[in-house]
Amino acid sequence: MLQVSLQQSRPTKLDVELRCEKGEVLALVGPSGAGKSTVLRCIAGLQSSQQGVILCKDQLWFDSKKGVHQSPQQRRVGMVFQSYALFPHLTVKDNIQLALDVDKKNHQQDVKQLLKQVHLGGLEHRYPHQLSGGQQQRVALARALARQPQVLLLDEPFSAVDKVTRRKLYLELNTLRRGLNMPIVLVTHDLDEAAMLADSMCVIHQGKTLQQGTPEQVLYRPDNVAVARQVDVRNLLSATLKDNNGQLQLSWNNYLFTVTSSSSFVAGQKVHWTLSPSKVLLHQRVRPSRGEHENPVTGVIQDMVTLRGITTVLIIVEQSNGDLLQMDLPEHVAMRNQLKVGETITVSLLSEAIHLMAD
Amino acid sequence: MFRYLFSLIFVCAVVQVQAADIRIAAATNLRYVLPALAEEFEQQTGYQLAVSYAASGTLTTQIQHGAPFEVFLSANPDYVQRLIKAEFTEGKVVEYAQAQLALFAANHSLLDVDDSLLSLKTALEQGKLNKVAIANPKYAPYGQAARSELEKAGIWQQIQPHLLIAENASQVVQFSLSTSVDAGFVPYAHIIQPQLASLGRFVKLDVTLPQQAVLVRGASEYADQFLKFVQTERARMIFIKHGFLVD
Amino acid sequence: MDWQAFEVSIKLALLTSMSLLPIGLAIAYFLAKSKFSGRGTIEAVITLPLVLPPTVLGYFLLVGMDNNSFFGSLFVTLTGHSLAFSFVGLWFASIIYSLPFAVQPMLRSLEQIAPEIREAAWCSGLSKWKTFFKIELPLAWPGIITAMVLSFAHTLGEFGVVLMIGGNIAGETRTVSIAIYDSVLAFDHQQAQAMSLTLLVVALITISVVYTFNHYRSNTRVL
Repeated sequence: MLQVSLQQSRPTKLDVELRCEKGEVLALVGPSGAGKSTVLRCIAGLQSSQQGVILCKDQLWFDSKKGVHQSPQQRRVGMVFQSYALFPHLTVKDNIQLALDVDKKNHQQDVKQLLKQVHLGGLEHRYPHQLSGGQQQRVALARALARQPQVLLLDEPFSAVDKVTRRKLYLELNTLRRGLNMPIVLVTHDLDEAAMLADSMCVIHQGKTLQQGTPEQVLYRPDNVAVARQVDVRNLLSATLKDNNGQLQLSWNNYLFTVTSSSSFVAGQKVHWTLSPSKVLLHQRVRPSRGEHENPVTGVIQDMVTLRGITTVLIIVEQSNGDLLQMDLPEHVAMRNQLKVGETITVSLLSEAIHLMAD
Repeated sequence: MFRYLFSLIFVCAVVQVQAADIRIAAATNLRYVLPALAEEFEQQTGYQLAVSYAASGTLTTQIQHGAPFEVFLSANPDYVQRLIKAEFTEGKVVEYAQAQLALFAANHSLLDVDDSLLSLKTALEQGKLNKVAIANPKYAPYGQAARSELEKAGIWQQIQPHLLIAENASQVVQFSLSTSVDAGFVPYAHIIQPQLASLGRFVKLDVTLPQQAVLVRGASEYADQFLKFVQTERARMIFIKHGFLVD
Repeated sequence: MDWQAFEVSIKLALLTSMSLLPIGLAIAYFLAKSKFSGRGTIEAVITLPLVLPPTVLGYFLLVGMDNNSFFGSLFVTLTGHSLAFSFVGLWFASIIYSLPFAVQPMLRSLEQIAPEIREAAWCSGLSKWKTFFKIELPLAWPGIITAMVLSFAHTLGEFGVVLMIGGNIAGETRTVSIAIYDSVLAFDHQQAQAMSLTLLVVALITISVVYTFNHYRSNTRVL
C-alpha cells in the first residue's frame, strides 16, 4: 500500500494526499503543469517536497519532519519516463540487464522472461533507436519491472505513441497488471485513458488534490465544480433547491426536477448540478419509452454531431437564457426518430443521474 | 616558401610610423640610450625619430622583406654583413660605440659577482648553483659574449645544465629576477638604469660588443644626418653616460 | 633536426592531455550538474586562458611558480628543485593553458545527456558512481575524445607561454616550437622548415587517427 502526503509553498504549490493499494492502478489526472509529474518524481525519490510523508507498505520513504529521504535506488521503484529514457548506447538486453545486475544474481533467464512478458521476445540485440515508439515503451516497462519494484510509476507513458498503438498498449497493460502485485501510479492528462485503465482516479489541479475516487465517482459524481471542470463534465449547470412538500427539488429555469441524492443539501441552497449526456433520454416518436414523465424538458436542436456511432445532440432549452443541454444517443435511434437541426424535441432527465454539487 | 611565411609574421610586428619621422630599426640594448639621443637630435635638427626595438636578427629579417626602416642599429655585426650581402644597404657601415656585458645577481641570490666569474665557478663545483640566464648564444650577441666569458673561465661545458636561454637580452634580466635564477649575463646598458640597478648587484665584464649602424637602401637624406649625428661628440657623451664605450 | 625537442613536445602534450582527462572531466561534470548562479563566473574563469595573451599568462605563471610562491616552495620542499623553468613547471603551465580546450567539449557533451537518462539509471538501481561510469561517460565519450585531442594539439603548438617561462633548456623545456623559432632567428631556414613540416605531419597523423577511431567506434545516437 502506498500512502503519499506532500505539502509545499515554494517554488511550486503542492498539497497532495493520495493512496494506492497493491495491485491497484491509480491515475493522476490534471492539466499540464498541475504538478502530476512532480508528485510522481517525489514518489520516486528524484525530488522532495518541503513537507510530507511517503509510506510504502511499512517502509518510510520520506518524512520531512524526521529528515528521512531515501534515494531512488533504496526505494526500489520502477519508473517509466515520458521519453522512456532508454540508454541509447546499450542494446535492449543490456538496458534491462543493467537493472537486473544491481541485485547480483544470475539473470540470463530473467531478461528473456521479462521481454516475453512485454511481448518483445527476439529483440534483445537491437538498439533503442532501431525500435518503434511502442517497442521502446515496452523495453522501458521491462526495465522498470526488472528489480521487482515496490511501486510502478508511469509518467504519461502513452503520450508519445499514435492512437492505434495506444489502444494496443492499453490492452496489454491491463493484462500485465493482473500479474503484478504492486501499486501502480499512472500520470496522464487523457481522461479516457484514465477511465479505461484506472481503478482509482485522483484529480490534481495547481498542485492540489481535488478528489480521489473511482472513475465512476470522479467523472460522473465530482465532489465540486472545480473537479467537474477538470474532468470535463458535460452538462454543468447551476440551479437552486426548493422545498416541495418536504422533498427537495431542483429549480432550474421554469422546471422543477426530482432528484434522488440530495441528503446533504438544504432548501434555498444554490447548487451546481451535472448530468451525463447518456442519461438524457429522448421522448421517442416511434416507440414511446416508459420514463416519459420523469423530469421532462423541451427544447430546440441547435446542433448534432456523430462520432463512432454515437450522436451528440445540443439542445437549447426553451424558457431559459439559452442554456444548452447535451444528449448522447445511438446514431440509429437518432436516424429512426428523424432528428433534425431546428426541430423541437422533448427529453427526460433521469433523476437518479442528476448529481448535485455545493456552490 | 617557409621564409615567406616567417617573414610575413615578422613584418607584421613592425610598429606604425608617423609622417616626417626617421624610421629607425634598433637593437633592444639601445632601449634606454636612444630616447636621450632622439631628444638631442630633435633639438639640433628638428627631426623626430620613430624607433622600433627588436632583436637584431628579427629586424634583419624584416628589412630583408621590405620593412620601411631607414637606419639599422645592430648589436650584432653579422647581421649587418648579411644585409650588405643581400644589397639592402647604402653607404658605409659605422661603428659608433661598443656595448658591454655585465654579470647580474638579483637581491635574492646568494651569489657574489666578480668579473673573473670565480664565485660562479665555485658555486658550480660545490653543486650549489641553481640557474644562470643568458641570451641565446646561437644568434644573440649578448649570448655569444656570455658564452665567450664562460669559455674563458673554463666552465662553459659544466654550466650547460644550469643555463636558462632567453630569447633576447631583456628577457635575461627578467629571468634573473626569478628566485630560481642565481645570476644572468645582462646588457650593461640595461642594468645601470636606476630602476634595475636597485634590484641586485652587478659587475662589468671584460668583453665588448661592437655596435654598428648602417643606412638601409632607399633611406632619406635626413637619415644620413642621423647617422652623422651618432658620431658627434654630443652623441658620444650620451653613449658613455648610458654604459657604452666609445673610442 | 632537433629530435630531442620533439621528444619534449610530445611528452609534454601527452602528459598534459592525460592529466586533463580526470581534471577536465571533474570540472566539466561539476559545471554540468550545478545550477547555482555562480556557474557562469566559473565557466568564464576557466575560459580565461583562451582569451588572455600568452604574455599575461606567462607573467602570472612565473610569479605563481616562483620559489617563494605557494606551489613553488612546496615543490622545492618535495623535490629540492625549482618549479620554474623545469619540465614539471611547463607541464603545470600547459594544464592551465589547455584547460578550456578540455573542459568546453566535455561540458557540452555532458550537457547533452538528457537528465531523465541519469534518473532512469538511478531508478534502475544504479548508484551515482555506477551511473557515471556506465551511462554518462560512454555517452559523453565523443566529447571527451575531442577534448583530449584538442588539448594534445594545443599543447603541441604552445609557443608564447613556453617562450616566457621555459628558459629554452635542451631536453627539458626546449619544445619544437621554440627550436623552430631559434632556427629562424639564427637564419637556419632549412632546419626550421624540416622541423615545421615534421611537426605538422605528426600533429595531423595523431589527430586523424583519433578522430577516425572515434567515428568507427560510435554507432549510437544520443537521445
